[in-house]
Amino acid sequence: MNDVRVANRLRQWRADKELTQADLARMAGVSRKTINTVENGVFVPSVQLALVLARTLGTTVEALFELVPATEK
Amino acid sequence: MNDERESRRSLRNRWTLQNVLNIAIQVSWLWAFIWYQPLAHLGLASFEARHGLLPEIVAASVLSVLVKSGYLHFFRREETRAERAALRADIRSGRMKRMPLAARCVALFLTLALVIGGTLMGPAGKGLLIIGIPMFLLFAAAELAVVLHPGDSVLPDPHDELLMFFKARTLQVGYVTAILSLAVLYVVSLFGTHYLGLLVAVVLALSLMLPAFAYRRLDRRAGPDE
Repeated sequence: MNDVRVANRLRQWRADKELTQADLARMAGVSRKTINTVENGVFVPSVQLALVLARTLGTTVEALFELVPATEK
Repeated sequence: MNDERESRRSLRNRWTLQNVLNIAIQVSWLWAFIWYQPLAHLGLASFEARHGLLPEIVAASVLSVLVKSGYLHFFRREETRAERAALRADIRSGRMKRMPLAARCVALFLTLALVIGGTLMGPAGKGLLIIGIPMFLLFAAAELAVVLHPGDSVLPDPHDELLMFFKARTLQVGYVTAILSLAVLYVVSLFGTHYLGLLVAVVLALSLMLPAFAYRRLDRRAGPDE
């Protein structure tokens, strides 16, 4: 468990939808800082928030988040 | 819930220069009253000798409240009513912004300086202690509220996951600081207890401010909008 971490493709998905962080935050009902810190890997969201983000972007949680080796950047 | 979050995005800063000046004037007024002791000058010196500075403080506070209430009632009644309604609405909706960290830090350490100065001055520092101790405890309580409920708003969103994440980190910093402070106090008490009271006030201020700095550091990791 310690040798993996959660990576995300939130930034790419948001850019594909031509949304700013503030736009996505408004649509998902969270603060802009939440979106920013998730994208930068500072904060790993709960399952609930991950599902909300996936639904907002019209995709699945698996497409947004994945487990990668902890050593991989 | 979206409306609530939308309203929280436009926080209003109540800590304007005018408000800070108002507080400074009121504290100066109270301090001047205690320093000059008008009741003693009015021939109540023996009464004051029996009751200490308490009558002066009560008289200064009552006079201050009467003058301010009278002015607001006769000259700014409608404006005051509207301002209070707006203030209540801002607090309820979470739009009211917290006092900035720098201002809180200055206030806490300034009142700590009053407590330390008043204690070191001995009997001559009684006036400083009478003002300093309640204000220090007031700012310490306000800072504790910030540690327990971090965020830019006075009433932060309790459902905000990021704030909960920040809260866990800031509480961790506060807890570690408090435990280390207690250990330091214990070691100091083994050698002497003369300045232990002052040291308790200092470590209390540090245990409250370090989590606030930790929160600021975490909060700054959220970059600008992209």
